[in-house]
Amino acid sequence: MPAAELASNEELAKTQGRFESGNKNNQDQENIGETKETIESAKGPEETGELADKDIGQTVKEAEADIKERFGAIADHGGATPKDIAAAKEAGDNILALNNQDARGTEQEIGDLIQSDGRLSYEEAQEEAGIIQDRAVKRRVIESLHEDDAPFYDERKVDKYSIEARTENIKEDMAEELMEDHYIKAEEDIENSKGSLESKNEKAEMLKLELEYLNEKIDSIDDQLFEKKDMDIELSEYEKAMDRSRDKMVERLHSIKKELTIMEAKEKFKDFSAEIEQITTRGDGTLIKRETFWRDDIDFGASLEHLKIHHDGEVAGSQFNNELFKNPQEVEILIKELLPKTLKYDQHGRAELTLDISHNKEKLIGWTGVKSVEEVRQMFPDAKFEKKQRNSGGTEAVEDGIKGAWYPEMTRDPETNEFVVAKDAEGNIKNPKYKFEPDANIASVSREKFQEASKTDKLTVIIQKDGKTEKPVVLTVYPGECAPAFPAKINSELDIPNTIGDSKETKFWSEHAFIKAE
Amino acid sequence: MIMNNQKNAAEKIKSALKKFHEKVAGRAAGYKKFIQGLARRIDERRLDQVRDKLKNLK
Repeated sequence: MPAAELASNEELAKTQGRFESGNKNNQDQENIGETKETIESAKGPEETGELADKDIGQTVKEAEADIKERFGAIADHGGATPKDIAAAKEAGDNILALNNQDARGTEQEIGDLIQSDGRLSYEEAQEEAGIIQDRAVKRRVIESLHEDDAPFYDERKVDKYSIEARTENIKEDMAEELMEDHYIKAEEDIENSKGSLESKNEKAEMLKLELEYLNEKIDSIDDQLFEKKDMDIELSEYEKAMDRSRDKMVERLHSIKKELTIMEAKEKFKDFSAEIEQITTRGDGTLIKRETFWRDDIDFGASLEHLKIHHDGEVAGSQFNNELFKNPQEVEILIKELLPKTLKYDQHGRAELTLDISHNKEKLIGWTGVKSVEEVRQMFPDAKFEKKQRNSGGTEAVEDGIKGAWYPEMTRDPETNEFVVAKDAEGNIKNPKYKFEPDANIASVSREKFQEASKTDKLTVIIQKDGKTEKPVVLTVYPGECAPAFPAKINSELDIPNTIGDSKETKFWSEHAFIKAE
Repeated sequence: MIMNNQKNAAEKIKSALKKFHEKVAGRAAGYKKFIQGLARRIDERRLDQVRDKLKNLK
């Protein structure tokens, strides 16, 4: 009985486990099939164990009944002496005791097998199977939302719409409009379903799955259009539609990546707090607070590129700790998390803020790389002083009698979202004389000495009201305390004051040095 | 991975069970033989007793 029951149960599990795994090309079906198999087979050892325990009990009982019956035959046997009966009883009792002893041993062995062998318990296996199933369902939600609502993700639908468009003789416009509408709808639906997810982890998982999905789709469109595009052959209506949908998908891909970065960083910095001090390095240093601005309006835009010079240690000056901040975006997110909702400009239209940060991480914010020349000489007697360009890539020049370098105008590349030198239609540098910076005092010291003497958990951010947009724009962010901005002359449509020559900035930076760790 | 572990564990459980069944069945067979032997000896003894009685009657 028990062996047969075990075997049939196993067969049943196997049969159910193979549920819907027919179409190997369909990821969802495969996932669901696999999940069911995992759930079913997760029952295996636990149920086998239960059945085994029942079987042991039953076997012991049957053996006992058998012994009793045989013993009864002797007890009732005419001519059996008390000695015979006692011998039969003793032998029967011995057997029963041995059976019971073996039953306990076997039960123990089976119990150990269920717990050991690195095998997951039924609950754990079920949980794991649940995650797989959940993932498959989410993946299908994403796919269906994209595919049902955005016809350009589906070749047949794109084709149908292009044919309709051609027939109606409004091809481009109609196709464009249809796609735009459907795309917006798809995005809204996805947003809605994501919005209803309570846990952040689930939202992140959905975003990651969507990222995976978009990557696959973009790759497949690239594969299909590669040859024609490479050989400059004109694309058909439907290929053009596909190409446009590819662009939309790339856009969406970037926004997902950004959203994921923000989510990760928010999680990382959730226990950070800061005391904020506002000063002014302008005028005689008296601070008068004026107009209010909103934290959420602060534009980090161009300063993110500038932030890079405070990473990787290639440029002299303060350095963020790369082990804490993976990229400049994370610095932006931390600052936005720490600043209050409203802030005030000073009488010069700036907000020079120093954040003294408390956190539970072992890693510090960074190293301050600006000290007075005097201080550097005292702290690092072996420091090597030079007067040279602070950033590489400049063209040496003399401006208003001051030696320094011109730097070209930078712009954001819409494809990669990175800052690159701005170029005109012919590919020439658009504005090679955009910003002039005088040569700086650079003191080179060994990396060990620099890191030991310059640790800081302070961070300075300087915000200015933009002359044109009137929005708060970040001029610079760096680890350490507030110092006047490095002097510069900027040829821009914006009214940015010239600070080279006789200025507070020039005075400060002639007495101070950037420290470069080598 | 999980599935392989589970299959291994189920196999080992079945093998432990099989060993237990064999031991119990072995003992049952042994007891059966012992009881049969005992019954035979009792019968023989009774037969001897009857034979002895018959002898005495003669």
